[in-house]
Amino acid sequence: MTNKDDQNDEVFSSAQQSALKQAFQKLNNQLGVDAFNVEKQAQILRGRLDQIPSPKPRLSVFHNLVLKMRKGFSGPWFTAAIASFGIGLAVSRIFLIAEPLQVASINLNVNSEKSIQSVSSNNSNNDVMEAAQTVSNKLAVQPLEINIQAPDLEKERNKLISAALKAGLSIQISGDIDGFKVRADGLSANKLDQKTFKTLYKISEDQEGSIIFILKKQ
Amino acid sequence: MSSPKSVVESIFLNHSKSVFTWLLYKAASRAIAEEIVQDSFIKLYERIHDIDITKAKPWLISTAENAYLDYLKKSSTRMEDFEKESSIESAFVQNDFGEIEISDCVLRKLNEFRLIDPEKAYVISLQLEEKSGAEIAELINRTEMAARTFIKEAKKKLKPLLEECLEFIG
Repeated sequence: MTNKDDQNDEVFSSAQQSALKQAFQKLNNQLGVDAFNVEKQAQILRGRLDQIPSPKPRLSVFHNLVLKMRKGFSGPWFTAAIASFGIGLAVSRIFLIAEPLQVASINLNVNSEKSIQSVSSNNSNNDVMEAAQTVSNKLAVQPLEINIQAPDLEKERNKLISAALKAGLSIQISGDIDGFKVRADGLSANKLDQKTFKTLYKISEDQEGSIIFILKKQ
Repeated sequence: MSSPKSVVESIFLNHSKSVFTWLLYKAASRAIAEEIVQDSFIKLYERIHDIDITKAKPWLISTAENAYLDYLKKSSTRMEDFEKESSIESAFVQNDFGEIEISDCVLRKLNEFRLIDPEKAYVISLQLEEKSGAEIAELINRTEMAARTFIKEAKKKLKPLLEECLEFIG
């Protein structure tokens, strides 16, 4: 079908068609269709295109994924992932160290006095029970108590501390209105260093463990 | 192989005027139409790898039309009405003797028709410019057969409007 055939569609006569054509030309002039300078506009477009980066061909989904992964392995998200992994690792170690102690309590009756000993372990339940059993097999040792009455409590206390330190014992002191309590730990049987201390306070040479001195005003 | 820039430039040289004319038929001002034509070709360049280049012409027409509709939405309706009225007023043309010529009667009616139905007015103008059915079909993104039917319908719709002007012409 030619252009002429296209136009000759029997809606308008050829004279009407020609008048219509003339009217459309006028309409186009009025609207300013010919005012559009293609060359000038093309020049403007060239200038604008020069300022735009050249469009990149669209990549497949797989390529996009690879690119994103590459970017991810070098970008801030990768750093953040490594950092959070490191923090997680450190925190998990802390929790391992700070795992709550498992405590087993065993009641022992020694000389009609009730003694409670506790053992603790970071290990499994079996280990805790074994440790508890070991304690229960031992005789619960009660610290020996020695009462001392003296007119000058402070002098007596200082003398006691001096002697205990010379014997290599560790001491804990507490005091109230009535007097002082000095606990000496680390006594061993037949230890030469402690001989003088034991003689001074009339303690048996084979005494072990701890002694509590109760100092009261005479 | 042509670079995207040269492809877009070549399409611009051949086709920008059609897009511009289409916008004028849609009652856009010349300045707005020029700006939208430029923007539409920039978009074409940016998406050149996503667009089927054989369908660039209808893509440009629809992109330009959408851009113009967006522009109208942003402008006030009253301003748009004023522009339409002024376009109709300017359609009256008198000759040197103060008489309205027959072609001006047609022109006035065409202008009214263009404002009512720009797409139909545009296809008629394209056909009168002796563009083939295939070319028009490409521009309005229809099959050749559908484009021919559309043009015929457009003419049928225009005819009653032109009766008072064309009764003198056989």
